[in-house]
Amino acid sequence: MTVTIDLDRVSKSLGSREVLKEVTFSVEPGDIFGYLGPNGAGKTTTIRVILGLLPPDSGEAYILGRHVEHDDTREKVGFVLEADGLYDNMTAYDNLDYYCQIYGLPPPLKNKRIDGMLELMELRDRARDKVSSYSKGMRQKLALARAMVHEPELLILDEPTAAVDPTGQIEVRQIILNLSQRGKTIFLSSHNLDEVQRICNRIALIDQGEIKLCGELDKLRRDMGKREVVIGTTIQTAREAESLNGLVAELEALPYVTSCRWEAQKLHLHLDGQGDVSQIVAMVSRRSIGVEEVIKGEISLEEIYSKVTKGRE
Amino acid sequence: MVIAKKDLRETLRAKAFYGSVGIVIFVMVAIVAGLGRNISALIEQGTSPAEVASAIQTLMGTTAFTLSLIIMLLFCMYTNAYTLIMEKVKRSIESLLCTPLSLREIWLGKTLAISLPSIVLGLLFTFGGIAGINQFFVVPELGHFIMPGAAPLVAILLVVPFIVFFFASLMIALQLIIANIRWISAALIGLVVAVMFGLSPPILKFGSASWSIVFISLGVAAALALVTIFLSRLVTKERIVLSSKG
Repeated sequence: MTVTIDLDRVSKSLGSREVLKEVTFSVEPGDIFGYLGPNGAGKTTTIRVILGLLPPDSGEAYILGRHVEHDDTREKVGFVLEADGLYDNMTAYDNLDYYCQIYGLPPPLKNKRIDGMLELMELRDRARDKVSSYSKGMRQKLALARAMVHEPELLILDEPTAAVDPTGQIEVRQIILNLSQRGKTIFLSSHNLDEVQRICNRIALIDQGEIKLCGELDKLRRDMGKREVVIGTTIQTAREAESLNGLVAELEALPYVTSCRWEAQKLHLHLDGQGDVSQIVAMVSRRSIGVEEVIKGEISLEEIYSKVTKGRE
Repeated sequence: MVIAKKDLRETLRAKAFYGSVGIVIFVMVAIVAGLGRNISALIEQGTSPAEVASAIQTLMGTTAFTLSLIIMLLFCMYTNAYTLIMEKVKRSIESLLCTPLSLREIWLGKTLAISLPSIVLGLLFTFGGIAGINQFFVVPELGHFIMPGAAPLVAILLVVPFIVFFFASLMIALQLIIANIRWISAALIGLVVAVMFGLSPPILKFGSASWSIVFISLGVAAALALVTIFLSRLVTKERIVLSSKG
Protein backbone atom coordinates (compact mmCIF):
# COMPACT_ATOMS: atom_id res chain seq x y z
CA MET A 1 0.00 0.00 0.00
CA THR A 2 1.26 3.50 -0.84
CA VAL A 3 2.61 5.60 2.02
CA THR A 4 0.20 8.52 2.54
CA ILE A 5 2.78 11.18 3.36
CA ASP A 6 6.44 10.69 2.63
CA LEU A 7 8.99 13.37 3.43
CA ASP A 8 12.54 12.51 2.52
CA ARG A 9 15.29 14.79 3.84
CA VAL A 10 13.27 17.94 3.26
CA SER A 11 15.13 21.17 4.02
CA LYS A 12 13.69 24.66 3.77
CA SER A 13 15.11 28.07 4.56
CA LEU A 14 13.07 31.23 4.91
CA GLY A 15 15.37 34.20 4.54
CA SER A 16 18.59 33.36 6.35
CA ARG A 17 16.88 30.97 8.79
CA GLU A 18 16.92 27.25 8.12
CA VAL A 19 13.43 26.29 9.21
CA LEU A 20 13.50 22.60 8.22
CA LYS A 21 16.66 20.52 8.39
CA GLU A 22 16.49 17.25 6.47
CA VAL A 23 13.05 16.42 7.82
CA THR A 24 12.21 12.79 7.16
CA PHE A 25 9.12 10.86 8.21
CA SER A 26 6.28 8.92 6.71
CA VAL A 27 2.61 8.58 7.51
CA GLU A 28 0.94 5.25 6.80
CA PRO A 29 -2.65 4.83 5.58
CA GLY A 30 -5.12 4.90 8.49
CA ASP A 31 -2.70 6.61 10.88
CA ILE A 32 -3.69 9.43 13.19
CA PHE A 33 -0.28 11.02 13.09
CA GLY A 34 0.50 13.64 15.73
CA TYR A 35 3.04 16.28 14.75
CA LEU A 36 4.41 18.00 17.81
CA GLY A 37 6.87 20.74 18.50
CA PRO A 38 7.35 24.06 20.27
CA ASN A 39 6.41 27.38 18.66
CA GLY A 40 8.69 28.12 15.73
CA ALA A 41 9.89 24.52 15.51
CA GLY A 42 8.81 24.20 11.87
CA LYS A 43 5.39 22.54 12.12
CA THR A 44 3.50 25.02 9.94
CA THR A 45 6.35 25.13 7.43
CA THR A 46 6.22 21.32 7.19
CA ILE A 47 2.46 21.49 6.53
CA ARG A 48 3.00 24.15 3.90
CA VAL A 49 5.57 21.94 2.18
CA ILE A 50 3.19 18.96 2.29
CA LEU A 51 0.40 21.05 0.79
CA GLY A 52 2.63 22.41 -1.95
CA LEU A 53 2.58 25.99 -0.69
CA LEU A 54 6.34 26.11 -0.14
CA PRO A 55 8.72 24.18 -2.37
CA PRO A 56 11.50 22.45 -0.43
CA ASP A 57 15.06 23.71 -1.04
CA SER A 58 16.21 20.10 -1.05
CA GLY A 59 14.66 16.71 -0.46
CA GLU A 60 11.42 15.28 -1.75
CA ALA A 61 7.84 15.40 -0.50
CA TYR A 62 5.13 13.02 -1.66
CA ILE A 63 1.48 12.63 -0.73
CA LEU A 64 -0.55 9.59 -1.76
CA GLY A 65 2.36 8.49 -3.91
CA ARG A 66 2.56 11.69 -5.96
CA HIS A 67 4.96 14.60 -5.77
CA VAL A 68 3.45 17.57 -3.93
CA GLU A 69 4.25 19.97 -6.76
CA HIS A 70 1.41 18.53 -8.90
CA ASP A 71 -1.82 20.48 -8.33
CA ASP A 72 -4.07 17.46 -8.84
CA THR A 73 -2.32 15.64 -5.98
CA ARG A 74 -4.40 17.73 -3.61
CA GLU A 75 -7.72 16.42 -5.00
CA LYS A 76 -7.77 13.74 -2.29
CA VAL A 77 -6.49 15.96 0.51
CA GLY A 78 -8.58 17.92 2.99
CA PHE A 79 -7.10 20.51 5.30
CA VAL A 80 -7.76 22.84 8.19
CA LEU A 81 -5.02 25.42 8.40
CA GLU A 82 -4.02 27.66 11.29
CA ALA A 83 -6.22 30.41 9.78
CA ASP A 84 -9.49 28.65 8.95
CA GLY A 85 -9.80 30.47 5.59
CA LEU A 86 -13.60 30.69 5.79
CA TYR A 87 -15.40 33.56 4.10
CA ASP A 88 -17.02 35.62 6.86
CA ASN A 89 -19.50 37.36 4.60
CA MET A 90 -20.81 34.08 3.21
CA THR A 91 -23.11 31.56 4.89
CA ALA A 92 -21.87 28.18 6.09
CA TYR A 93 -23.77 26.55 3.23
CA ASP A 94 -22.18 28.87 0.64
CA ASN A 95 -18.69 28.26 2.06
CA LEU A 96 -19.16 24.50 1.63
CA ASP A 97 -20.82 24.97 -1.76
CA TYR A 98 -17.85 27.01 -3.00
CA TYR A 99 -15.35 24.29 -2.10
CA CYS A 100 -17.62 21.58 -3.56
CA GLN A 101 -17.50 23.47 -6.85
CA ILE A 102 -13.73 23.84 -6.62
CA TYR A 103 -13.42 20.07 -6.13
CA GLY A 104 -15.75 19.55 -9.09
CA LEU A 105 -18.56 17.74 -7.28
CA PRO A 106 -21.67 17.36 -9.49
CA PRO A 107 -24.76 19.22 -8.14
CA PRO A 108 -26.82 16.24 -6.79
CA LEU A 109 -23.79 14.80 -4.97
CA LYS A 110 -22.76 18.28 -3.83
CA ASN A 111 -26.08 18.95 -2.09
CA LYS A 112 -26.02 15.51 -0.45
CA ARG A 113 -22.48 16.01 0.83
CA ILE A 114 -23.15 19.52 2.16
CA ASP A 115 -26.28 18.35 3.99
CA GLY A 116 -24.40 15.35 5.37
CA MET A 117 -21.52 17.48 6.62
CA LEU A 118 -23.80 20.08 8.23
CA GLU A 119 -25.66 17.25 9.95
CA LEU A 120 -22.43 15.60 11.14
CA MET A 121 -21.12 18.87 12.53
CA GLU A 122 -24.50 19.77 14.03
CA LEU A 123 -24.54 23.03 12.07
CA ARG A 124 -27.70 22.42 10.08
CA ASP A 125 -29.73 24.99 12.07
CA ARG A 126 -27.14 27.69 11.39
CA ALA A 127 -26.40 26.72 7.78
CA ARG A 128 -27.89 29.92 6.35
CA ASP A 129 -26.21 32.24 8.86
CA LYS A 130 -23.16 34.22 7.90
CA VAL A 131 -19.93 32.73 9.22
CA SER A 132 -19.07 36.07 10.86
CA SER A 133 -21.74 35.25 13.49
CA TYR A 134 -20.14 31.89 14.38
CA SER A 135 -18.20 31.09 17.56
CA LYS A 136 -14.62 29.82 17.27
CA GLY A 137 -15.78 26.25 17.93
CA MET A 138 -18.44 26.46 15.24
CA ARG A 139 -15.92 27.89 12.80
CA GLN A 140 -13.54 25.00 13.47
CA LYS A 141 -16.33 22.50 12.90
CA LEU A 142 -17.27 24.24 9.67
CA ALA A 143 -13.62 24.26 8.59
CA LEU A 144 -13.52 20.51 9.29
CA ALA A 145 -16.72 20.07 7.28
CA ARG A 146 -15.15 21.98 4.41
CA ALA A 147 -12.03 19.81 4.66
CA MET A 148 -14.10 16.63 4.40
CA VAL A 149 -16.81 17.64 1.98
CA HIS A 150 -15.06 15.99 -0.99
CA GLU A 151 -14.35 12.77 0.95
CA PRO A 152 -10.55 13.09 0.98
CA GLU A 153 -8.25 10.20 1.81
CA LEU A 154 -5.92 12.39 3.83
CA LEU A 155 -6.78 15.15 6.28
CA ILE A 156 -4.16 17.66 7.34
CA LEU A 157 -5.16 19.52 10.47
CA ASP A 158 -3.10 22.37 11.87
CA GLU A 159 -4.08 23.00 15.51
CA PRO A 160 -7.73 22.09 14.95
CA THR A 161 -8.72 22.66 18.60
CA ALA A 162 -6.69 25.81 19.25
CA ALA A 163 -8.83 28.49 20.94
CA VAL A 164 -11.80 26.13 21.04
CA ASP A 165 -13.62 25.68 24.36
CA PRO A 166 -13.42 22.27 26.11
CA THR A 167 -16.81 21.12 24.80
CA GLY A 168 -15.79 22.05 21.28
CA GLN A 169 -12.44 20.27 21.76
CA ILE A 170 -14.20 17.06 22.80
CA GLU A 171 -16.51 17.29 19.77
CA VAL A 172 -13.64 17.94 17.35
CA ARG A 173 -11.63 15.04 18.84
CA GLN A 174 -14.62 12.72 18.48
CA ILE A 175 -15.03 13.77 14.86
CA ILE A 176 -11.36 13.03 14.20
CA LEU A 177 -11.69 9.58 15.79
CA ASN A 178 -14.82 8.87 13.73
CA LEU A 179 -12.97 9.86 10.58
CA SER A 180 -10.12 7.55 11.45
CA GLN A 181 -12.60 4.70 11.95
CA ARG A 182 -13.84 5.42 8.43
CA GLY A 183 -10.33 4.72 7.15
CA LYS A 184 -9.11 8.29 6.70
CA THR A 185 -5.49 9.15 7.36
CA ILE A 186 -5.08 12.13 9.63
CA PHE A 187 -2.03 14.33 10.05
CA LEU A 188 -2.57 16.40 13.17
CA SER A 189 -0.29 19.22 14.18
CA SER A 190 -0.98 20.17 17.76
CA HIS A 191 0.34 21.78 20.91
CA ASN A 192 -2.13 19.85 22.97
CA LEU A 193 -0.16 16.86 24.28
CA ASP A 194 -3.18 15.39 26.05
CA GLU A 195 -5.13 15.51 22.80
CA VAL A 196 -2.31 13.84 20.85
CA GLN A 197 -1.90 11.17 23.56
CA ARG A 198 -5.64 10.45 23.45
CA ILE A 199 -6.11 10.09 19.71
CA CYS A 200 -2.81 9.58 17.86
CA ASN A 201 -1.24 6.20 17.19
CA ARG A 202 2.00 7.63 15.74
CA ILE A 203 3.86 10.85 16.36
CA ALA A 204 6.82 12.88 15.22
CA LEU A 205 8.42 15.54 17.34
CA ILE A 206 10.14 18.43 15.63
CA ASP A 207 12.39 20.92 17.38
CA GLN A 208 14.45 23.67 15.78
CA GLY A 209 13.65 22.26 12.35
CA GLU A 210 14.85 18.75 13.12
CA ILE A 211 12.82 15.61 13.72
CA LYS A 212 13.89 14.52 17.18
CA LEU A 213 11.83 11.37 17.34
CA CYS A 214 9.26 9.59 15.27
CA GLY A 215 7.32 6.38 15.63
CA GLU A 216 4.45 4.58 17.29
CA LEU A 217 3.39 6.43 20.40
CA ASP A 218 3.05 3.33 22.60
CA LYS A 219 6.44 2.04 21.52
CA LEU A 220 8.05 5.41 22.11
CA ARG A 221 6.54 5.56 25.58
CA ARG A 222 7.88 2.10 26.30
CA ASP A 223 11.29 2.72 24.81
CA MET A 224 11.93 6.23 26.02
CA GLY A 225 13.74 6.54 29.34
CA LYS A 226 12.82 4.74 32.51
CA ARG A 227 9.74 2.71 33.22
CA GLU A 228 8.33 2.32 36.65
CA VAL A 229 7.08 -1.12 37.68
CA VAL A 230 5.28 -1.76 40.96
CA ILE A 231 4.88 -5.39 42.07
CA GLY A 232 2.28 -5.96 44.76
CA THR A 233 3.07 -9.03 46.92
CA THR A 234 1.21 -11.21 49.43
CA ILE A 235 3.80 -10.47 52.17
CA GLN A 236 2.04 -9.34 55.32
CA THR A 237 4.37 -10.02 58.26
CA ALA A 238 8.00 -9.20 59.10
CA ARG A 239 8.76 -12.94 59.09
CA GLU A 240 7.46 -13.28 55.58
CA ALA A 241 9.47 -10.21 54.63
CA GLU A 242 12.68 -12.09 55.45
CA SER A 243 12.22 -13.96 52.21
CA LEU A 244 13.07 -10.69 50.52
CA ASN A 245 16.62 -10.80 51.87
CA GLY A 246 18.97 -10.31 48.99
CA LEU A 247 16.15 -10.01 46.41
CA VAL A 248 16.33 -6.23 46.21
CA ALA A 249 20.11 -6.37 45.67
CA GLU A 250 19.67 -9.19 43.16
CA LEU A 251 17.15 -7.15 41.19
CA GLU A 252 19.31 -4.02 41.32
CA ALA A 253 22.13 -6.07 39.82
CA LEU A 254 20.08 -6.68 36.67
CA PRO A 255 21.46 -4.53 33.81
CA TYR A 256 18.12 -2.91 33.00
CA VAL A 257 17.09 -2.12 36.61
CA THR A 258 18.21 1.32 37.67
CA SER A 259 16.69 1.26 41.17
CA CYS A 260 14.68 -1.04 43.41
CA ARG A 261 13.12 -0.51 46.83
CA TRP A 262 10.68 -2.31 49.13
CA GLU A 263 7.90 -0.12 50.47
CA ALA A 264 4.38 -0.80 51.79
CA GLN A 265 4.39 -4.48 50.79
CA LYS A 266 5.37 -3.52 47.30
CA LEU A 267 8.50 -3.65 45.20
CA HIS A 268 9.09 -0.38 43.33
CA LEU A 269 11.45 -0.74 40.38
CA HIS A 270 12.73 1.69 37.74
CA LEU A 271 13.72 0.03 34.50
CA ASP A 272 15.36 1.43 31.43
CA GLY A 273 13.72 1.06 28.00
CA GLN A 274 14.83 -2.55 27.44
CA GLY A 275 13.55 -3.94 30.76
CA ASP A 276 11.96 -7.38 30.90
CA VAL A 277 9.17 -7.35 33.49
CA SER A 278 8.40 -11.07 33.10
CA GLN A 279 11.96 -11.97 34.19
CA ILE A 280 11.55 -9.85 37.34
CA VAL A 281 8.22 -11.48 38.20
CA ALA A 282 9.81 -14.89 37.69
CA MET A 283 12.67 -13.99 40.08
CA VAL A 284 10.17 -12.88 42.74
CA SER A 285 8.08 -16.03 42.32
CA ARG A 286 11.15 -18.28 42.65
CA ARG A 287 11.49 -17.04 46.25
CA SER A 288 7.95 -18.24 46.92
CA ILE A 289 6.65 -14.72 47.22
CA GLY A 290 3.06 -14.40 45.99
CA VAL A 291 2.57 -11.74 43.35
CA GLU A 292 -0.82 -10.02 43.62
CA GLU A 293 -0.45 -7.43 40.90
CA VAL A 294 2.04 -5.94 38.48
CA ILE A 295 1.50 -2.27 37.64
CA LYS A 296 3.51 -0.95 34.75
CA GLY A 297 3.92 2.81 34.61
CA GLU A 298 5.09 4.20 31.29
CA ILE A 299 6.61 7.56 30.46
CA SER A 300 3.97 10.08 29.49
CA LEU A 301 3.98 12.03 26.24
CA GLU A 302 4.51 15.16 28.30
CA GLU A 303 7.69 13.67 29.76
CA ILE A 304 8.86 12.62 26.30
CA TYR A 305 8.13 16.11 25.00
CA SER A 306 9.95 17.98 27.74
CA LYS A 307 12.85 15.53 27.56
CA VAL A 308 13.29 16.15 23.84
CA THR A 309 12.69 19.88 23.88
CA LYS A 310 14.54 20.23 27.22
CA GLY A 311 11.71 22.36 28.57
CA ARG A 312 12.51 25.15 26.11
CA GLU A 313 8.90 26.06 25.47
CA MET B 1 -14.67 29.93 -13.49
CA VAL B 2 -15.70 28.84 -9.99
CA ILE B 3 -13.65 31.66 -8.48
CA ALA B 4 -14.95 34.22 -10.98
CA LYS B 5 -18.56 33.17 -10.33
CA LYS B 6 -18.17 33.39 -6.56
CA ASP B 7 -16.47 36.80 -6.73
CA LEU B 8 -19.08 38.11 -9.16
CA ARG B 9 -21.83 37.03 -6.75
CA GLU B 10 -19.96 38.86 -3.98
CA THR B 11 -19.70 41.97 -6.16
CA LEU B 12 -23.42 41.97 -6.89
CA ARG B 13 -24.14 41.72 -3.15
CA ALA B 14 -21.81 44.60 -2.22
CA LYS B 15 -23.26 48.04 -1.50
CA ALA B 16 -20.08 49.66 -2.88
CA PHE B 17 -20.91 48.23 -6.29
CA TYR B 18 -24.32 49.91 -6.40
CA GLY B 19 -22.78 53.11 -5.05
CA SER B 20 -20.32 53.10 -7.98
CA VAL B 21 -23.15 52.45 -10.44
CA GLY B 22 -25.09 55.40 -8.96
CA ILE B 23 -22.09 57.73 -9.28
CA VAL B 24 -21.47 56.64 -12.89
CA ILE B 25 -25.16 57.19 -13.77
CA PHE B 26 -24.96 60.69 -12.29
CA VAL B 27 -21.77 61.48 -14.23
CA MET B 28 -23.25 60.00 -17.42
CA VAL B 29 -26.35 62.20 -17.19
CA ALA B 30 -24.10 65.26 -16.79
CA ILE B 31 -21.91 64.22 -19.75
CA VAL B 32 -24.90 63.43 -22.01
CA ALA B 33 -26.46 66.79 -21.14
CA GLY B 34 -23.18 68.61 -21.87
CA LEU B 35 -22.71 66.75 -25.13
CA GLY B 36 -26.33 67.49 -26.07
CA ARG B 37 -25.67 71.21 -25.71
CA ASN B 38 -22.61 70.90 -28.03
CA ILE B 39 -24.70 69.02 -30.59
CA SER B 40 -27.48 71.62 -30.39
CA ALA B 41 -24.86 74.35 -30.98
CA LEU B 42 -23.51 72.46 -34.00
CA ILE B 43 -26.98 72.19 -35.49
CA GLU B 44 -27.74 75.87 -34.79
CA GLN B 45 -24.59 76.92 -36.71
CA GLY B 46 -26.62 76.17 -39.83
CA THR B 47 -24.08 74.05 -41.72
CA SER B 48 -25.30 71.33 -44.09
CA PRO B 49 -26.92 68.21 -42.53
CA ALA B 50 -24.11 66.00 -43.90
CA GLU B 51 -21.45 68.17 -42.26
CA VAL B 52 -23.43 68.28 -38.99
CA ALA B 53 -23.83 64.47 -39.04
CA SER B 54 -20.09 64.03 -39.62
CA ALA B 55 -19.18 66.44 -36.82
CA ILE B 56 -21.61 64.71 -34.41
CA GLN B 57 -20.17 61.30 -35.34
CA THR B 58 -16.63 62.46 -34.57
CA LEU B 59 -17.72 64.08 -31.31
CA MET B 60 -19.63 60.98 -30.31
CA GLY B 61 -16.72 58.67 -31.21
CA THR B 62 -14.25 60.73 -29.20
CA THR B 63 -16.53 60.91 -26.19
CA ALA B 64 -17.59 57.26 -26.32
CA PHE B 65 -13.99 55.97 -26.53
CA THR B 66 -12.76 58.11 -23.65
CA LEU B 67 -15.86 57.45 -21.60
CA SER B 68 -15.74 53.66 -22.05
CA LEU B 69 -12.08 53.58 -20.99
CA ILE B 70 -12.64 55.77 -17.92
CA ILE B 71 -15.80 53.92 -16.82
CA MET B 72 -14.22 50.48 -17.20
CA LEU B 73 -11.04 51.46 -15.37
CA LEU B 74 -13.00 53.12 -12.57
CA PHE B 75 -15.22 50.07 -12.11
CA CYS B 76 -12.07 47.95 -12.02
CA MET B 77 -10.67 50.16 -9.29
CA TYR B 78 -13.73 50.53 -7.12
CA THR B 79 -15.87 47.41 -7.33
CA ASN B 80 -13.55 44.49 -6.75
CA ALA B 81 -10.06 45.95 -6.77
CA TYR B 82 -9.03 44.78 -3.31
CA THR B 83 -10.67 41.37 -3.44
CA LEU B 84 -7.36 39.55 -3.38
CA ILE B 85 -5.66 41.68 -0.77
CA MET B 86 -8.62 40.99 1.54
CA GLU B 87 -8.16 37.28 0.92
CA LYS B 88 -4.52 37.70 1.87
CA VAL B 89 -5.35 39.65 5.02
CA LYS B 90 -7.88 37.02 6.12
CA ARG B 91 -5.60 34.26 4.79
CA SER B 92 -8.40 32.55 2.87
CA ILE B 93 -6.05 32.68 -0.13
CA GLU B 94 -3.83 30.13 1.64
CA SER B 95 -6.74 27.67 1.78
CA LEU B 96 -7.55 28.35 -1.86
CA LEU B 97 -3.94 27.58 -2.81
CA CYS B 98 -4.20 24.21 -1.03
CA THR B 99 -6.99 23.06 -3.35
CA PRO B 100 -6.30 21.37 -6.70
CA LEU B 101 -6.73 24.75 -8.43
CA SER B 102 -3.56 25.96 -10.07
CA LEU B 103 -2.16 29.39 -9.39
CA ARG B 104 -3.00 30.40 -12.97
CA GLU B 105 -6.62 29.32 -12.56
CA ILE B 106 -6.92 31.41 -9.39
CA TRP B 107 -5.25 34.38 -11.10
CA LEU B 108 -7.50 34.11 -14.17
CA GLY B 109 -10.62 33.68 -12.03
CA LYS B 110 -9.83 36.79 -10.01
CA THR B 111 -8.98 38.75 -13.17
CA LEU B 112 -12.26 37.80 -14.83
CA ALA B 113 -14.18 38.67 -11.66
CA ILE B 114 -12.81 42.21 -11.88
CA SER B 115 -12.71 42.75 -15.63
CA LEU B 116 -15.99 41.15 -16.74
CA PRO B 117 -18.41 43.34 -14.77
CA SER B 118 -16.28 46.40 -15.55
CA ILE B 119 -16.39 45.66 -19.29
CA VAL B 120 -20.11 44.82 -19.32
CA LEU B 121 -21.02 47.93 -17.32
CA GLY B 122 -18.63 50.10 -19.33
CA LEU B 123 -20.26 48.95 -22.58
CA LEU B 124 -23.77 49.32 -21.17
CA PHE B 125 -23.14 52.87 -20.00
CA THR B 126 -21.26 53.86 -23.17
CA PHE B 127 -23.95 52.58 -25.53
CA GLY B 128 -26.64 53.78 -23.14
CA GLY B 129 -25.07 57.24 -23.38
CA ILE B 130 -24.94 57.04 -27.19
CA ALA B 131 -28.61 56.00 -27.27
CA GLY B 132 -29.50 58.83 -24.85
CA ILE B 133 -27.73 61.49 -26.93
CA ASN B 134 -29.41 60.24 -30.07
CA GLN B 135 -32.83 60.00 -28.43
CA PHE B 136 -32.83 63.45 -26.84
CA PHE B 137 -30.65 65.58 -29.15
CA VAL B 138 -29.90 63.98 -32.54
CA VAL B 139 -33.13 62.28 -33.62
CA PRO B 140 -35.38 65.29 -32.84
CA GLU B 141 -33.17 67.54 -35.02
CA LEU B 142 -31.89 65.23 -37.79
CA GLY B 143 -34.57 62.53 -37.76
CA HIS B 144 -32.12 59.59 -37.58
CA PHE B 145 -29.63 57.83 -35.28
CA ILE B 146 -25.90 58.57 -35.57
CA MET B 147 -23.42 55.97 -34.34
CA PRO B 148 -19.69 56.58 -33.75
CA GLY B 149 -17.44 55.61 -36.71
CA ALA B 150 -15.90 52.18 -37.30
CA ALA B 151 -12.60 53.02 -35.57
CA PRO B 152 -14.07 54.11 -32.22
CA LEU B 153 -16.54 51.20 -32.33
CA VAL B 154 -13.69 48.71 -32.78
CA ALA B 155 -11.78 50.46 -30.00
CA ILE B 156 -14.77 50.40 -27.61
CA LEU B 157 -15.84 46.83 -28.34
CA LEU B 158 -12.43 45.16 -28.64
CA VAL B 159 -9.40 47.21 -27.71
CA VAL B 160 -10.64 48.87 -24.51
CA PRO B 161 -11.85 45.51 -23.11
CA PHE B 162 -8.37 44.12 -23.83
CA ILE B 163 -6.78 47.03 -21.97
CA VAL B 164 -9.16 46.49 -19.05
CA PHE B 165 -8.54 42.72 -18.94
CA PHE B 166 -4.75 43.14 -18.79
CA PHE B 167 -5.11 46.05 -16.37
CA ALA B 168 -7.14 43.77 -14.05
CA SER B 169 -4.63 40.98 -14.53
CA LEU B 170 -1.82 43.34 -13.56
CA MET B 171 -3.78 44.54 -10.53
CA ILE B 172 -4.15 40.94 -9.36
CA ALA B 173 -0.46 40.22 -10.00
CA LEU B 174 0.55 43.20 -7.88
CA GLN B 175 -1.74 42.07 -5.07
CA LEU B 176 -0.30 38.58 -5.25
CA ILE B 177 3.25 39.87 -4.99
CA ILE B 178 3.08 42.88 -2.68
CA ALA B 179 2.23 42.58 1.01
CA ASN B 180 1.65 46.23 1.88
CA ILE B 181 -1.84 47.50 1.02
CA ARG B 182 -0.62 51.13 0.75
CA TRP B 183 1.98 50.14 -1.83
CA ILE B 184 -0.71 48.31 -3.77
CA SER B 185 -3.02 51.35 -3.67
CA ALA B 186 -0.18 53.54 -4.91
CA ALA B 187 0.65 51.04 -7.66
CA LEU B 188 -2.99 50.86 -8.82
CA ILE B 189 -3.41 54.62 -8.95
CA GLY B 190 -0.06 54.87 -10.77
CA LEU B 191 -1.27 52.29 -13.26
CA VAL B 192 -4.51 54.15 -14.01
CA VAL B 193 -2.63 57.44 -14.36
CA ALA B 194 -0.06 55.75 -16.66
CA VAL B 195 -2.77 54.29 -18.91
CA MET B 196 -4.76 57.55 -19.08
CA PHE B 197 -1.75 59.83 -19.55
CA GLY B 198 -0.16 57.34 -21.91
CA LEU B 199 -3.17 57.61 -24.17
CA SER B 200 -3.78 61.35 -23.79
CA PRO B 201 -1.03 62.71 -26.16
CA PRO B 202 -2.01 60.42 -29.07
CA ILE B 203 -5.71 61.20 -28.46
CA LEU B 204 -4.93 64.92 -28.62
CA LYS B 205 -2.78 64.43 -31.72
CA PHE B 206 -4.91 61.99 -33.74
CA GLY B 207 -8.35 62.35 -32.09
CA SER B 208 -9.86 59.31 -30.46
CA ALA B 209 -12.12 58.57 -33.42
CA SER B 210 -9.18 57.68 -35.67
CA TRP B 211 -7.67 54.30 -36.54
CA SER B 212 -4.31 55.49 -35.23
CA ILE B 213 -5.72 55.58 -31.72
CA VAL B 214 -7.02 52.03 -32.16
CA PHE B 215 -3.51 50.79 -32.90
CA ILE B 216 -1.95 52.89 -30.15
CA SER B 217 -4.53 51.50 -27.70
CA LEU B 218 -3.66 48.00 -28.88
CA GLY B 219 -0.05 48.87 -28.09
CA VAL B 220 -1.06 49.93 -24.57
CA ALA B 221 -2.92 46.61 -24.11
CA ALA B 222 0.17 44.75 -25.37
CA ALA B 223 2.42 46.71 -22.98
CA LEU B 224 0.15 45.81 -20.04
CA ALA B 225 0.20 42.17 -21.19
CA LEU B 226 4.00 42.19 -21.36
CA VAL B 227 4.35 43.66 -17.87
CA THR B 228 1.89 41.01 -16.62
CA ILE B 229 3.90 38.24 -18.26
CA PHE B 230 7.09 39.63 -16.73
CA LEU B 231 5.49 39.79 -13.28
CA SER B 232 4.10 36.26 -13.62
CA ARG B 233 7.62 34.97 -13.00
CA LEU B 234 7.48 36.58 -9.57
CA VAL B 235 4.06 35.20 -8.69
CA THR B 236 4.69 32.02 -6.73
CA LYS B 237 2.71 30.30 -4.00
CA GLU B 238 5.63 30.88 -1.65
CA ARG B 239 5.60 34.62 -2.27
CA ILE B 240 1.82 34.79 -1.83
CA VAL B 241 1.85 32.83 1.42
CA LEU B 242 4.79 34.69 2.89
CA SER B 243 3.39 38.09 1.91
CA SER B 244 0.03 37.28 3.55
CA LYS B 245 -0.71 38.59 7.02
CA GLY B 246 -0.02 36.41 10.02
